[in-house]
Amino acid sequence: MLSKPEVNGRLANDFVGLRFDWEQGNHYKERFGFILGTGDQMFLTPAGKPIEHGEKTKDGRGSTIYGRHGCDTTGPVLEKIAAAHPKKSDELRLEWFLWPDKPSRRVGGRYPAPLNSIAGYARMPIAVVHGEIPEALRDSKFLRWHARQFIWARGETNGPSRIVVRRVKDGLKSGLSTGIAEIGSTKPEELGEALDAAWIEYMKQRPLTARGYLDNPHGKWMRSVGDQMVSEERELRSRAVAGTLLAPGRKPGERPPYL
Amino acid sequence: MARVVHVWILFVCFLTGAAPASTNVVRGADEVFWVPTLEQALDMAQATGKPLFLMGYSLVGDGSTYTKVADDYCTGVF
Repeated sequence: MLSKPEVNGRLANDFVGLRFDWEQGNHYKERFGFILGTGDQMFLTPAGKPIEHGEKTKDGRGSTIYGRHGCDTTGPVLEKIAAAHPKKSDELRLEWFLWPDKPSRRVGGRYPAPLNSIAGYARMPIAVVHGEIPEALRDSKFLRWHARQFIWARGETNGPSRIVVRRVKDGLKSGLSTGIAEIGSTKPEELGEALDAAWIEYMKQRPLTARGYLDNPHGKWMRSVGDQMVSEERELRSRAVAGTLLAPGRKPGERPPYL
Repeated sequence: MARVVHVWILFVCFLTGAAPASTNVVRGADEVFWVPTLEQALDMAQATGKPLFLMGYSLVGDGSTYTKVADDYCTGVF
């Protein structure tokens, strides 16, 4: 579903995306009346109200679950929702992306999923912003170009301004360092180039798609596409090495909008 | 404390498969502006007027993010 351009493109332009981990889902169970299952989807109005898709649940209520247990999320479905809630701005703020750590309503629980977990799950590098936040990171155009390259986190608030880019540590490939880059520049062009270089460096050695399910009996039906998945990931790696891989949201030949 | 939950990787594969070589897109899921929490999402929605898209997912404990396949390594599933 998300691999279809008409879906991921529309979501990128007209929606706010939220990966809803189990702990967070449990934290908000009373708000929605259930915990959103893995792979299931929901749409909320900008005010936070679930959007029904028109089909009914078993007990006759309007269903708000999309995906495998409900209405498929397709281009026309997204068009309809976006038309009913047209955006008023494309503003981006860094604080919307900074990964927090909050107590959940379950005793001892925390949400969202830990920083390292989401970075491993999404196969993305982590960018930790230390010291004063560079002005570039308060520019929507700059964030539009760079925000989707990393999982962002706030580090020490004192000290010199720097961004540390790293890989997830646990189980890392032998010989590969967690550290990718430490960026001290705050000028937009230099900072942007450094972030791009760090991202490409990560992508050259990006872990392949999760494979565990393929190796157990329950996942054997996927083995026919396992080779395709791995070959596609290797293709991305080779493009990263060649320097031709585009970061999310970019088109060939496009220049950074903040320059 | 690490919390082990059931991981449904087939949905990850369906939902986040790498795009065809011709598009140069890394993977579809990476195109989306994902924010970490409902509070942050609602704040962004209020400022931009955009509706929210929630995708449910689950993870193993964060000590198990990688595993190995032959001479290469992958994100982990246990």
